[in-house]
Amino acid sequence: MSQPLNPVGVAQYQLLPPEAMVANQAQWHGWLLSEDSPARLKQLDASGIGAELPMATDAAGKLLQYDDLLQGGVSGAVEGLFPKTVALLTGLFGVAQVARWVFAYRTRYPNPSPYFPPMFAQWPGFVALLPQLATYPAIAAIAMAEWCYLQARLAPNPVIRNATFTACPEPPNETSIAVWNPSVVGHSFLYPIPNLWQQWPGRSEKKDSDPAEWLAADWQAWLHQHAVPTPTPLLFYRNPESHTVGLLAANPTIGGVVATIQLLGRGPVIPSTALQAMASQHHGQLLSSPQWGGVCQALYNSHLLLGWQ
Amino acid sequence: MASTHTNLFPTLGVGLGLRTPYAAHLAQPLATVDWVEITPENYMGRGGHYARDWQQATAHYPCALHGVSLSLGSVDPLSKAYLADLATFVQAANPAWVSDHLSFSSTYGQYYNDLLPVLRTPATAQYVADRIKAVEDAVQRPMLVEHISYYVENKESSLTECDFVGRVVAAANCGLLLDVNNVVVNCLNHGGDPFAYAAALPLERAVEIHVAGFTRMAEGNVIDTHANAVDDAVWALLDWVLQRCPPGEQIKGILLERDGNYPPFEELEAELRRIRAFWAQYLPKRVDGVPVLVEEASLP
Repeated sequence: MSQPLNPVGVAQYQLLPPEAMVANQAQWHGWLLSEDSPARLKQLDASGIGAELPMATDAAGKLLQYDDLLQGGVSGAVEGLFPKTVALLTGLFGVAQVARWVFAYRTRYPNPSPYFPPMFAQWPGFVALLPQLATYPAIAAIAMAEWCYLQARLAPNPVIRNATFTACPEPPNETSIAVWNPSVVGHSFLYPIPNLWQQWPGRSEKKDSDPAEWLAADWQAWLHQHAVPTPTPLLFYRNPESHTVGLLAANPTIGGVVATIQLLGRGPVIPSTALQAMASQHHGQLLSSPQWGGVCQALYNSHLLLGWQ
Repeated sequence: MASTHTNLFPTLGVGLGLRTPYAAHLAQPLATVDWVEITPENYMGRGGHYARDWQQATAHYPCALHGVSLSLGSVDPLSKAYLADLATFVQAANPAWVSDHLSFSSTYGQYYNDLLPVLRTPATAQYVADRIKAVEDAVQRPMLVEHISYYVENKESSLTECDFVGRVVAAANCGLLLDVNNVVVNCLNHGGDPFAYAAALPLERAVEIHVAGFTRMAEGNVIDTHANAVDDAVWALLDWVLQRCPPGEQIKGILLERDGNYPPFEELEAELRRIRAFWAQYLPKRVDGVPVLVEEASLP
């Protein structure tokens, strides 16, 4: 097909949208990114967008489960954790070293610009560092802070605030972030992020496997195959009791839980009761992959699992 | 009901969306599958099993591309980078057509992870139509657009969903990807009769049909998840549509979508067989090479 199907040219790419459309999408934009979506929702009701909201009603019901985290936990963590982490790292390693890390990543991944979604592309370097938690704990700490920042930043979006975030290496050489949105749109998406060794363009995929199966199979198999050093922090979870985000360190290579709990946030450093019970139950034990998958599934079922890495 | 526009498209038959859990099945010829639909974002520019999956599938089946990222209804300019990648992938996969959604999923460079409804006015319809032409121009394939399932109504819209879709496809001179599941989902959430809704769509431009299952939420709403078996209401609407838009003659492909809660492949094949039965039932009978269509009077 050598001839254009339509007599249009590059100028068509620069079409100006109708004014009403711009205003409408500006409203959507503000709504979706609003820090106070319930209040915004009322405004939008008045202004025209949210007149009938079967989905918003549904989303509002779901959001109640997460409001404690969103309002008291992660954003609080973000406020304090990120600058503190940077300050700590610069104190430990020096400004030059931290700058070198950042520069290296910004150089390597200047702007992957995946068409979808660029929200992670804005922080690709740090997200891509997640698999290196075991090897480069200092960098990983930045990544964790960034991850929390992302959580807080994205949380107000009623479409994606119910999402869980997953960093998962997929064979052969990819690192991915999955945004999981079962309660609102019912779709799950997997966003591969360029990893440390190969340049992969940012791409997306609807995530298409059960979370526990995915973890127990893909992740475990990949780790075994590549003999990834351990311990590797594995589970991010929310703690509704202390308004914190938790990180469960584990030893997936041998399928065992190290049961080291690290919490991020303003609340007391205690894990949630449920997770504490699980951790103590399995402390020091060697778990098989199915058992480990069971732990993840239990967390997921109890709405505690935010993601894993 | 077929318009001459639909003659631009080859007949593909009954297909299945290429998804990783079923990639191994689609790496071989199957009696239940005539073609595959590929979500380009999942495969463009990627290596590893992704490249292997689509290449093996297209070695056995013709394909069409069904994207999710064009953001046709966005106020943002079309992404030239995306279009360039899509054009490259089109050259490699040689799809019969390319489709995407009549929605926006990004504004001011921010992507929302969802297909959001466009403000429906004559001006926005023309704007979207012009962008569809631009995409066709860029990828050099005829295009279909799918009307979406939406959960929020824009009060400022001056056109109904069906009128808007009609204006867009007419102005763009493109095909319609009729998603019977979306019709049912929208009618369940917003009220309305699915048959009347479908009748108000520009069915004469329908080239492909999507069939999928939805999820009922506790609050009573339904979500277009593609994660369950096809609902009886969807089957009934498919039946109704095919009586009016004969397969082969007008409808060139029917696709089963599954994007979660993946069942054993045999369960999908059962649904594919049911679609095939519809296809065979409504395939126009020919007498001396002239199609004999179902009598309109016999339709419900």
